[in-house]
Amino acid sequence: MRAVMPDSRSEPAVILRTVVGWLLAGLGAIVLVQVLVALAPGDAIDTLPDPALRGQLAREWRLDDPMYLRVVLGTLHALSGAWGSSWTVRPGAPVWALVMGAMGSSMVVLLPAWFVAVGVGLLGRGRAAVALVSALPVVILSLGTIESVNALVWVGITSGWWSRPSFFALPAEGGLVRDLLMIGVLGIGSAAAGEVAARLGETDAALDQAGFVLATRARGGSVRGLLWRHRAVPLLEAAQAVFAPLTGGLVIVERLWGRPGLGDLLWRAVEARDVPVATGVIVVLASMTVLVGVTLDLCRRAWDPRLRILV
Amino acid sequence: MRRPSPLVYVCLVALIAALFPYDSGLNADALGLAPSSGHPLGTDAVGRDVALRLFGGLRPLVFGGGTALLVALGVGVPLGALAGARGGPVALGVRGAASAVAVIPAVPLVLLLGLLLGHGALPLGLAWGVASAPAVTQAIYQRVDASRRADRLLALVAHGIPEPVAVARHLVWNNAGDVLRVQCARILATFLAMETALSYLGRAGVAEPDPSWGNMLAMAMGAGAGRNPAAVASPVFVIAVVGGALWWAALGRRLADSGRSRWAPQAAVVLAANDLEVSTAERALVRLSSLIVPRGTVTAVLGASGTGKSLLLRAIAGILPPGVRASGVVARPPLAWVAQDGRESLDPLRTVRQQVTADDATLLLSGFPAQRLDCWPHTLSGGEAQRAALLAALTGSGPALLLADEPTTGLDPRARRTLTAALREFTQRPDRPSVVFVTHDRRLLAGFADAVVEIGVPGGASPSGEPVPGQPGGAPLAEAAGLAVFAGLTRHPGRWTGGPVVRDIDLVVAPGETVGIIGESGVGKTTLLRALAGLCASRGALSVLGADPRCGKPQGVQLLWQDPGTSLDPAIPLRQMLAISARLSGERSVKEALARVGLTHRADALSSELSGGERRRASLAQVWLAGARLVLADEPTAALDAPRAIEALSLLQDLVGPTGGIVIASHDLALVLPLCHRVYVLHEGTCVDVFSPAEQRDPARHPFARALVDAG
Repeated sequence: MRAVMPDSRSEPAVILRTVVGWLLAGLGAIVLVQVLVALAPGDAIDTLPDPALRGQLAREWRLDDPMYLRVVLGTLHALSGAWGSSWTVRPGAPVWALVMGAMGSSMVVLLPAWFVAVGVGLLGRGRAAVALVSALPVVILSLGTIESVNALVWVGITSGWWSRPSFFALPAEGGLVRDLLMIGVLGIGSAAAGEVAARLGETDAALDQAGFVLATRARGGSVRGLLWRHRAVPLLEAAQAVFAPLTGGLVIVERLWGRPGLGDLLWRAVEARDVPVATGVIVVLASMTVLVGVTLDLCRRAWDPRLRILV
Repeated sequence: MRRPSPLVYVCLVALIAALFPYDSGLNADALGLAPSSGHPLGTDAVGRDVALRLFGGLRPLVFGGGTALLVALGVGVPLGALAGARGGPVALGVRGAASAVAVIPAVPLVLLLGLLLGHGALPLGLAWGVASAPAVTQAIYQRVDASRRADRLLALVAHGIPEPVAVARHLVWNNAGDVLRVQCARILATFLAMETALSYLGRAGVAEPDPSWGNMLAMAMGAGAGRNPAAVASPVFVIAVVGGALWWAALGRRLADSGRSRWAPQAAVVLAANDLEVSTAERALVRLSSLIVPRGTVTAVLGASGTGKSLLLRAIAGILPPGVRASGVVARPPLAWVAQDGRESLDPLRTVRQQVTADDATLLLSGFPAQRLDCWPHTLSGGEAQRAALLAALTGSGPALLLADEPTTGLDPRARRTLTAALREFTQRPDRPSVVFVTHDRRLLAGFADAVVEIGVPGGASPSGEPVPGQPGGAPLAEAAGLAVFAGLTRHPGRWTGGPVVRDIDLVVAPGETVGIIGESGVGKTTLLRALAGLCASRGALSVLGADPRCGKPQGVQLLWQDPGTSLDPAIPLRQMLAISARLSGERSVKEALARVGLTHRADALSSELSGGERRRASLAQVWLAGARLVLADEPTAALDAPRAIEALSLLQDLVGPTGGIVIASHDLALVLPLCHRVYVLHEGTCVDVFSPAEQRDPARHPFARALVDAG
């Protein structure tokens, strides 16, 4: 007999526990951000030329209070959605409006990049042309370090190897090709596709010698459905694992290609020490990670009965 | 010799480059020069040699990446190991803290930390270490947790290895080494990508004049830069090469493995085989001149442990492990194959009912309890899983040939008889299917097998004679009164919700005594043994070697595990594993132990390379080397042929000596009962009878006990 027991708690209680666990992780992340912000030396607010605005923001953010109080109040503000006004990126503008305005633009890149990562990862483990396709993410990874791609395009154009095509947008302009390039580089170049492919590859290797697969093959039955059923959990795990790195990569690709969005906003906020905006963006990114984590955790749990045992 | 990882080469080159003398002086006379003999890669926009700066650009990777590694591993490994080993609230706390950091995307976290730590390679490394630590924690946690769930940590602790040593050396160093290598490569690769990107963008990265491949690119592409394409192309090239090597070290091996894990075309089912040979590239593993299986018959495959009986079955089924091939097999589908461990043959994602379409009559015949049909495979006992796996194999369109590997090892004698009757019934179907099964138990053959195939006997120690009971006497070695045992572990007292698995146990083991525990599959024999070793939670009076095992493992108690592989570290050779056991007592030599169990020729094998019987003998050697006054043996003769089983029991008696004691939980009553001074019969969660098999005046009285003994 194994020293584990079936989970005796009811399913709703376990689901509640999963959700609460993720929410606590999100809360921890918000507190951590507040602590880091409070510990950062100096206040960017002091550089504002308008004394009236400076006084108003100092009162609004209780900058003269002790650190622990600022952390608590900052956390409460972040949770309640009262994110206040921007200090330096756009002084006086509501942070909520700035962040929500940038989110739509980022989603256009982030979500397709996520699907690209999972899709290329799935292709990478396919049976056909395994050697070639499996190596693809690694090859692209080695070439796809983001600024290298940018540099190669730049070298090509400035060296006169090719003239700038009419549809290729420069950073200051918009363009479908630029967006597609960003999606591809973010999805593949951030190692997300390789991670998905590697996890599924490990699963296939384990399934290769699993008794129930061997037994099915010995019976002469098809194992295709069986294998996909067992690949579902690692696929969900991989999709969950690569989401946070993708949101991090968003900062770099948006900055590199000059596309407005959450990443670009965060970059400008950190450069200008605009604490409310930086906090707001990070809270939104962390919340998205939490939401994805909760959803995929519950899906995995519903799918795999072995996860319903006590740790 | 093992090939070093690409990571080693990268580290070596980087280290050399970091020590390389580097001159960052500006040269107004050499702005943006093209490559020449004096400057192999030309100069940059302010006249610095591009080649020298390329070498200098490795410094951020060495110092910053090294700092990130130190921080991430220094924080992540101990926390992950602690969470994996302890489980419960500790794991929840550690994983919760790791999740709180992990939900903040890494690059924003690094930017925030940059406000605190400042800019440059070292602060960046520190920040990246903090951001990477949660991934290391999770990876180590998952590996250690899997070992704990497979009872390997319990086995190591029960063997006498201190828990911190067992976790650090066996679970982390030996069995999570590959995880650590992958994590190291991943941290360095992501650090390189992030550092060059931030340095290129001019924020939080390495700022001029310190060299970084990122700021080299930025300068080469910036306003007023000279027209030296090499100044742009060379950083791109080294980022691609170094990044590629690091990513390959992190992911490539796993991707390559996925490419290898493809099935070769499968052979069909065999009904007749001539000159059958199963071999690797180096040697033949099994040779058989002829195997004929007529329709509607039962064929038994006999042979000593390690002679390749299981391989023979897999050759017939066409499911040999990678690197092993068979010739001379004439196969024909459809067939069914059932692994030695029943759980392995069941799909863990579906309930038993979803895999078994047997009618009530077949269920009744197989002895599988109908009320367990809606259970998941991982919740079944060993015997239940074996019966469920056989049922699953027999259902559906119905195989023409059933291949069963040791189908009765987890069953009590009554269940064994029921199952053999079910298999015989199966061969009487209108389409007259056949059964080929592997067994060590010659008693199964009478009235069941129509034909017997015996394969070769390898070298090894011969049995030293039938074991006999010793002479008991003295203060009890183990004593329990009114003991109730729970399935949860002692160190997780909050987890044993629900009733006890067994209750009201009064048990005594005197010096020189061998005590038997018998009962149906799943009744709690293993749990009771674990309670005696102090591993399982219990209530009631309990004393083992004069101490309460719930307050710490008593010296001189050894547990022999039902699955012998549980106590063997899969990452190190047998000789090394036994050396660890030998150090626990310091009295016996590994060489002598190997000779006693007949494994001298397998001393350098990993546990995965040993057969089931060889693993059992290896675990006996472990127990013998560690020294014990009381051995708690859980199915010590499972997967052993009769001579080896007798030898194992003799070795057990030899190991404890005349003043030691043995408690045996077993289904193999014919072998075990003659050894026992006293037998405790468990039924429906309690002890229903105690009898002395050797004495006619004290026979089994309870009807269940009598039925069990008669069946055995």
